[in-house]
Amino acid sequence: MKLKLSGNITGDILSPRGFPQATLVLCPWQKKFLLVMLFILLGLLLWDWRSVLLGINILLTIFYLIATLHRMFIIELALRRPREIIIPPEKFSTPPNGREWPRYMVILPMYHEGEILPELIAGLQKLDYPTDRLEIRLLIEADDDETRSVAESLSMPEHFKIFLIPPSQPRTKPKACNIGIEEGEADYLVIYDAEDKPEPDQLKKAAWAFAQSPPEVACIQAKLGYYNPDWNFLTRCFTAEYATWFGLCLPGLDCLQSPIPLGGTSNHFKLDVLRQLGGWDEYNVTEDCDLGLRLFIAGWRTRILESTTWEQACPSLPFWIRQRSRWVKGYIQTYLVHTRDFWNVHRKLGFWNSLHFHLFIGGTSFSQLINPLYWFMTLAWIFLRPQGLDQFFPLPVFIMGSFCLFVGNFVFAYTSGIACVRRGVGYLAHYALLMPFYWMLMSIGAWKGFWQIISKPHHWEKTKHFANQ
Amino acid sequence: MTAANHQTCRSWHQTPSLLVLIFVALALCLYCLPTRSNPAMENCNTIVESLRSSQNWGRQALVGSLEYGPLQTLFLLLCRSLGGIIGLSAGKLYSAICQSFIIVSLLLWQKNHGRRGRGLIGAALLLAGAFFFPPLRELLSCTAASPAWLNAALFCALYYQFSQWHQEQELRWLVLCATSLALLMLCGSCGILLALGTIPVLLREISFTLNDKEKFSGLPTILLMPAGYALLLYFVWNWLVMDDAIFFLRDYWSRASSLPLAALLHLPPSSWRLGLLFLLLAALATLLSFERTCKSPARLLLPLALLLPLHFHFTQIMQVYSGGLPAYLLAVLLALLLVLNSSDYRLRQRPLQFLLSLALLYCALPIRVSTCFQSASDAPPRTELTTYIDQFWPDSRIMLYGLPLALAYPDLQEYRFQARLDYQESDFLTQARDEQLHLLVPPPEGKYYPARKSVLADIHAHGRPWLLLEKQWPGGWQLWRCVIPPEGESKLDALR
Repeated sequence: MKLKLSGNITGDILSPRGFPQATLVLCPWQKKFLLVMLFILLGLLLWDWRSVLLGINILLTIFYLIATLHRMFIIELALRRPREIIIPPEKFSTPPNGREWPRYMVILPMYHEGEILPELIAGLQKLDYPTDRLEIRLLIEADDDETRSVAESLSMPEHFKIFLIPPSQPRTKPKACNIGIEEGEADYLVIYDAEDKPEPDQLKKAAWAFAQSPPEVACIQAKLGYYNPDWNFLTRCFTAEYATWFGLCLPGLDCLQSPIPLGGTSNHFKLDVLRQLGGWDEYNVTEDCDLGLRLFIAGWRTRILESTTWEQACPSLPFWIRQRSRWVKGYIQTYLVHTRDFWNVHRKLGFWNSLHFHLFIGGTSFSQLINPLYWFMTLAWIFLRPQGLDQFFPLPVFIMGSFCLFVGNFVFAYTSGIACVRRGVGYLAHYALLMPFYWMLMSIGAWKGFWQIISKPHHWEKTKHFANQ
Repeated sequence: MTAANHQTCRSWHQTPSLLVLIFVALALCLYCLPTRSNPAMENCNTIVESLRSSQNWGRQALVGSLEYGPLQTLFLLLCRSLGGIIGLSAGKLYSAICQSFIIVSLLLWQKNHGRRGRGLIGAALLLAGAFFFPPLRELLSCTAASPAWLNAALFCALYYQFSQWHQEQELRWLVLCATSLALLMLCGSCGILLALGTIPVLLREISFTLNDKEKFSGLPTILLMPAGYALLLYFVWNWLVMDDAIFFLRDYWSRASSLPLAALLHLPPSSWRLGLLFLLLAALATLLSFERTCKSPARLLLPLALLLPLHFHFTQIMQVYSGGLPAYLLAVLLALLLVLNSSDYRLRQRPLQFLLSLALLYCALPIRVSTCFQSASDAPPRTELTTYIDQFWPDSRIMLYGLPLALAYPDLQEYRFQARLDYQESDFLTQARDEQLHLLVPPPEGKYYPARKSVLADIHAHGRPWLLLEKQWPGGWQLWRCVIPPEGESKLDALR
């Protein structure tokens, strides 16, 4: 039987497939609310701009303080109570049920990836999993002649299948994934990117992890790392950032049993649960993050698996900024989509999970957007000592701000060093000192993403993958 | 360590609420004991009050003095702000918190690393004696409320955390060690010295324990980064507050470099006694570092034993606050705990260890060293100064330069006395154009400012063309009046 995991089924523009989707950036009440807030703010600014700016500064400083303390708390949890699922290799000799390994489907959405396809196929052939229980689907856009011709010219084993995705809007990775899983039978499914190099035993580990976990665990997220950290400054810092996210932040959230914003690849799902949820939101450009939240809200849980998929860190600044802009745009989309039903989402998440949601999904992008403003103010305060700046920093605000400036920034940079050591790339730990420069690049990407959410909300900024040096 | 012990240790970690309860109960008990604040704590309190009154010299003292570290002052400020709400004494609260932190850390250390029944009883008796038995408490004058308790608490935390890392080799413990090192760095000269002395020992122990280049990779960065950052903060803060990134070093160095060599070589009786104590401590730590089970914690005591006596001696001669006695007391305690706990019973070494420990205790108990600044007895009383000035120049303000002088004449309103840590002649002259100023210059004996190569010593000897010596006290104190009249108060204004 073929499911329908794309198109408009319900006729509702905000939830065309029965769950809130990012078809529109803002729902009607969000638009009205933002407009009203904007008018009130403008009115207040005209009435008493000093008090309004002071109020905004107080709110932003409190936000920074909470974000800093929250990050410290998450990191401490990740270090104190590591909860990643660790599967010892001696288990791989037998399937979890003792009879046969579960059926696994691997999907690989690709677009203009002909250059790296042979390497990808070679890498996937190393997967240690019985081939009669494995199906690997290469999801290629029907009009992507480049990738298609390379794929057809390669002699691939039987369990590799080429799936052509008919051209339709929106042209996004999640749409391809949804079409790719509309039919076929499997117990578990994993998604990899074209440049991924998963550890060969990852599927067996994930199968065992599912078997060991309680039934409500529907997703296992493997860790992501970069195989090319030494290419340049950007790849080194990117590696440190990924190590922090997958080595400390997500395990910290896992400790709290909170919703986990999934990484783009190496998400292992129970296929029936994924289909039941409607797959990925094809309009969301960080569909993985959105899906992580939807899983949690529907009562399913995600766990972190101690197994790494090696990816390629984008070594080119223009492409890196594009990728970053898509991430920030997607996080904003996800935040706005999930806050449409404002009270209901908070009721379902509960107080603490709501806090994690606001800080991790909304806060991460928001802080990247407002950071340049505070860097500018800090530099102005240090070098120019302008008259009047102090009126926006009364003593309590000054104390909180100083804490964020002198302690918070250091904590964020230092955690990158800790994460590098923890992820086995300790020789990159000293790059933590240079993270502030990397944060500036992140803010450039964030502003590009913010602009795109207004101008091109569904445009997929594709990350270019480079042939190995 | 046996599996049973390990289980017990886990039970401690699994009940943080119990630990908090013990901590709070201990802090309350210690707070209720009749403890006095030592002069150093009173000085630190003066800085805190000036900070609360938004005085510039308070901010300068916070960052520009290595005698009282920024963290000590900020922690006292926190105690003052929170304790003040319910009427608690800030100094006593500060010390009670630090002391109970030390006790809880030692208990945890004993629970996780010690041998059952041995060290715990010994330590409990020793601690009870030190903190609760009045005659012994009186003898240990260094248990008085003192800013240096924070150094001791942080060193104790470092000691415990490193012992835990040594046992579990979990990255978290190393991160905590690095944090403790960074906080120690912010505890003034004694803290910096302790941290700098401990870092090589830690690095060597880590490298020796892991014995794997790949595992060791990045760990030095993790350990050193917070400490380096803390040191960097001194420069940044000095740049921001003092307009001179190296003021704190320059100030300390100018005092140190003006000491005559003979003074450095002359050892007062208290220094001899301290030196002997630390030699005993070093001998004991060295002996313990050969024991298989406690060699790593014993080696961590070596920087304390070797560097603190030098620091004591130096600060005593410089007449500044040494800030290390509680850390020293802690070192003695730790050494004794190690002796009581060293599990590899070596017949030949054991008696020697006990003899050394007894000698250590014998020397440690009656020790009383107070090297912090106390106002000189011959300093003119503030009422005498103001009454004298008011006869001719009512309401003229007296300018004070340097931390010791600021501490000697605190004025929360800066109505009659205004202090600064740095002497800036141009600023003085600018201010003199606005108001009538006097300048108080103590005798150049090294207590209030460096005896040589300092501006105040030069003023004391030669004055300035725009200063008139109004009065000189027999002890050498001078009161100068600025003869530049404030604008609008001189008939010569037209000539300006």
